[in-house]
Amino acid sequence: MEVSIRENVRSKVDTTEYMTVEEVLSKYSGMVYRLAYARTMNRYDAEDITQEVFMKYMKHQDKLQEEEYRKAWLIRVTINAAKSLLTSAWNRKRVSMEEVEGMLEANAYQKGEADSGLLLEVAKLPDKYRIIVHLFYFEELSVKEISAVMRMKESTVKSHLFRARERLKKTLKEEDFDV
Amino acid sequence: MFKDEYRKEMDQITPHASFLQELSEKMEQEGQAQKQGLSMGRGRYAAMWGGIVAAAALLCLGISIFRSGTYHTGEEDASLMTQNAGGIADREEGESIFDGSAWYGQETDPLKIYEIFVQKLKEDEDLMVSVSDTEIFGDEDYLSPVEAEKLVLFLTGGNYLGGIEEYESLLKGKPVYYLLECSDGTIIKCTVYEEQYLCCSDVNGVFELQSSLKGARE
Repeated sequence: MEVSIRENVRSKVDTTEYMTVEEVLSKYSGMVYRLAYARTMNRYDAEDITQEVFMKYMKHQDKLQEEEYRKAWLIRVTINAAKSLLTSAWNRKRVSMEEVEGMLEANAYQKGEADSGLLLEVAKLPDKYRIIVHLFYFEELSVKEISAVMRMKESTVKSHLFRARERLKKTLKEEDFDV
Repeated sequence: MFKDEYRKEMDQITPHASFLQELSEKMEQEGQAQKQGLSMGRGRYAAMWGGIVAAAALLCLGISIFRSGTYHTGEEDASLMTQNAGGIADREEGESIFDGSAWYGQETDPLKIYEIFVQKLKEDEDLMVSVSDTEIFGDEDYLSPVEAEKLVLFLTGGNYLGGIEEYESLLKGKPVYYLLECSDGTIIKCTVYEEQYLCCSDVNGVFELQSSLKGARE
């Protein structure tokens, strides 16, 4: 009995990964930033969201020592923070598609990105599709994982992916869309 | 490939080093502030309870209550984390709804695949049906349950016609597209031409069926 308790404790410890601030930032800042960008399509908003998420992380870090919890929590909080920011931004100013295109072009220019045509088309997708496309294609989360993190039924995740893909197929070149 | 191109472009979207440096410093400061706050908080509690002479037992009780209170702070977050982590932990390797061959399993006969669809539609009590005049589905309205039931009766009461390409010359009128979302995740795209209809002629729809049936068997 004692042995099994020890084993239990050991396995619990093994799944725990203590990380310093630098390690957390190094490992997850890209994920959080890109996710925020995928939602807002704006670098400045993505920075605001990233900062908010990691400051929240500092408050809850004691409970976020397990790798799986940490990643899921960061994704969820990023989505919430982006939603909250966009909701408040919506009240201040309605951003037109032309403005989004302008922002993307400006971003591309700042970064020296030669071709952001694909991102531009992704940016034109409705918000609810865009974030799922990002989680599926970039973060490589499964439908089940997206369903858990977005608190959606798996069928809804699939239908959103299906519709996003249908839309992209119409606007992107066929060779870009080979899966 | 879309995935590769998307990843390539998103890989260029990275936070600026100066922003990360600034954020790192803020986080360190927050960490220090928390440590100091916690230390001061404990001091205040100790002083408060230490001032009571016959408080040895009471002090223990107080600390116990304090710790208990601390433990439950952020219960909702913990619950959320558990739910989310469950999703990650249960990940099925290789699951991708857009992978796979054109037809379900070893089945290559469109009629048999159609029969699988029909059975599925008949049995699904939470079927969601949306309709579109174009092939692109977006934010269109869903059919009411009564309308959806009528459509299912129509679809499952007829005969399978075949693929659109094959019968194109026979089809008349402007097509109407239906997206049928089953509660198990199966998505069937259906194209209706006047009184004739075609099911499971859409490649993506078949992919969806493959994926969900495979999942159900597991």
